[in-house]
Amino acid sequence: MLSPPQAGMIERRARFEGLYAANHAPIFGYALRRTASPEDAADILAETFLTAWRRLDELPPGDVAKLWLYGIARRVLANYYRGERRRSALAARLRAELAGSYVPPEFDGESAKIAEALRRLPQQQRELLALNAWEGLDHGEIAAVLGCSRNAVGIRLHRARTRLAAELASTGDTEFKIHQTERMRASSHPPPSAVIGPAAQSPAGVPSTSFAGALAQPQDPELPARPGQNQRG
Amino acid sequence: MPYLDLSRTAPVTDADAAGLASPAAFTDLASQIMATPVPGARSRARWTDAIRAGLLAPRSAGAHLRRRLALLTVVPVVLAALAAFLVTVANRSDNGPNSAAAIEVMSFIKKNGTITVIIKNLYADTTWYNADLARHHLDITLHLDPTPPSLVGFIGVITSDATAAGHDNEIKPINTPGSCHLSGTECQIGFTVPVDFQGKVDMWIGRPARPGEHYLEAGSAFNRGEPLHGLADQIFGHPLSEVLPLLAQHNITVAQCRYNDPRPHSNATCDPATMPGTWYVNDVIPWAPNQVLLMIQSEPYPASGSFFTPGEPLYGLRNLIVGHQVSEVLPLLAQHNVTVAQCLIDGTDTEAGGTCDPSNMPGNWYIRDVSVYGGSQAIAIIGRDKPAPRTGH
Repeated sequence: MLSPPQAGMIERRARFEGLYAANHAPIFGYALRRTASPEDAADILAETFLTAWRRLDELPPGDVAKLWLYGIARRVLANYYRGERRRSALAARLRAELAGSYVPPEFDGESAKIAEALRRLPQQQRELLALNAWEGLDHGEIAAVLGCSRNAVGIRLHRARTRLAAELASTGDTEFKIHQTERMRASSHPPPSAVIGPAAQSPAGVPSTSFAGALAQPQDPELPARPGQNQRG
Repeated sequence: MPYLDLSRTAPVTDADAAGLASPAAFTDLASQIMATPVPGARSRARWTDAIRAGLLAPRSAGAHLRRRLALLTVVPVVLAALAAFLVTVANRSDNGPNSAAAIEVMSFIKKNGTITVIIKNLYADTTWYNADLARHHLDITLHLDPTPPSLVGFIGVITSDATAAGHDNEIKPINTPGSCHLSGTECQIGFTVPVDFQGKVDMWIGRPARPGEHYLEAGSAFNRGEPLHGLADQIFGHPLSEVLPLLAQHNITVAQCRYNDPRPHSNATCDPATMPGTWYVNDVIPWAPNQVLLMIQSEPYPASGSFFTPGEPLYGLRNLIVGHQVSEVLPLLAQHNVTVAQCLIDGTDTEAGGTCDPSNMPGNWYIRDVSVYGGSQAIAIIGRDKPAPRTGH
């Protein structure tokens, strides 16, 4: 007959195994897209799930569990960017298998330009765009990961896209049109111009850009955080 | 809405990422994690130490674990009760969160509906603070982070749950941040919080850095109380060949260097010893006492960023610009030799934005933001309605 602690441990292991099986790929993907290093991503994966194992009692139910994990991974990643790169002994085997296995993809043309423009955005805005475009999270889900309101996410995401478009426009590359606001109502307002700048051909010989660099080398690797960069509602 | 479709530029999908290693390797990690001890409420500090040791040297932590488990399983009476007894005994005699040493970590004074929390030991383990706060019915996770002098005592809220969100500004520092002297002994660091505060908050407070530490939160190198206060105009816009001797004069070492615009395929990190004298400073970030991190670039203007930062033409004028009408702001910009090269309409989360003609912006619209286009040219982001006041962004 199992004692209560032993039964409790079995149940705990079962819960963790389920959580890990469902979410190790998304968390590993999240970390790899932002570090471009599978070994570092393995350490981040290990530390995220170790935290989850220790705080399993706080695990939210259902699909929210994944968002909880993204939130933990985000904090681990923030520490990583500040230079606190703890090598996880737990991930030794995984790291050994991953060594040399990954080359960040090369992008060219339009995607390369997006990568360049993204690099010029502040880290917070890049991350917002990535949670939406790469992890496929909607406003409510991003709000849960970042711990702010859904409205704030909507506004900030819009600002980030506007900023990105401005960055793309400022280099003169304008295959990207800003959406025309037919719904604008201000009668005193003059008709807006349709496109910023002339459409540009990509010149021959433009070197391709590693897009992973856009998030893998954030503007502030190892930088201490600035107050006011922490997300508030 | 997504007229810019970024999803196809993701470097790797989750499935492809997971495919880089064998399933067995991933499963092995899970097994390793499950072999680490689970902290119980009263033995948390001890387990945290064991886990940290496990991260660095699995064998020694494993041996430590096996000894403890062996001790527990040999006992021939009701396992749970005796295990609890042993854990309590262990804590009384060591430095667990219930020990005499831990109780000295913070002081709590309740008065007039407010609790004043003063942190007496600035270097304790986070779990000790949490245990103490939990005893006072506050679900606050507290980190004390080394910061430059102007941020000592400053409170940064990292996350709060839905119940606490919006109320986390009820947590206030007990002293003006930056009013502590570096010695720390005459300084009180802490916060006040309403007695009935609800919800879960994760926050940090700045504390002085110990020798060998570097700052976890930085602030500005030009804040009052920092060594470079008042020197911004001798740094921004001047080449490194002039800036570096100035820093040396003030006993500041450049500990770290970063390129403001990391080129493709290259590291963002530059070597402080080989920074080109013809380059410029984009930003100065406190790194550790008398050490800074410099962000450098080849041009005097920021590649992207804000006209509101030190050294920029609109420094200090943000409050006169954002939220004000176009007709008020344009003369102010002209006064500071900033011209608007581009105009964008700030949409809402239901309406997309658009573009506008910078030479014909409606005077009664409001400026939402001003960002750099290039040189002394700006992008003005405008909206029809007055923006809501910022609650902290």
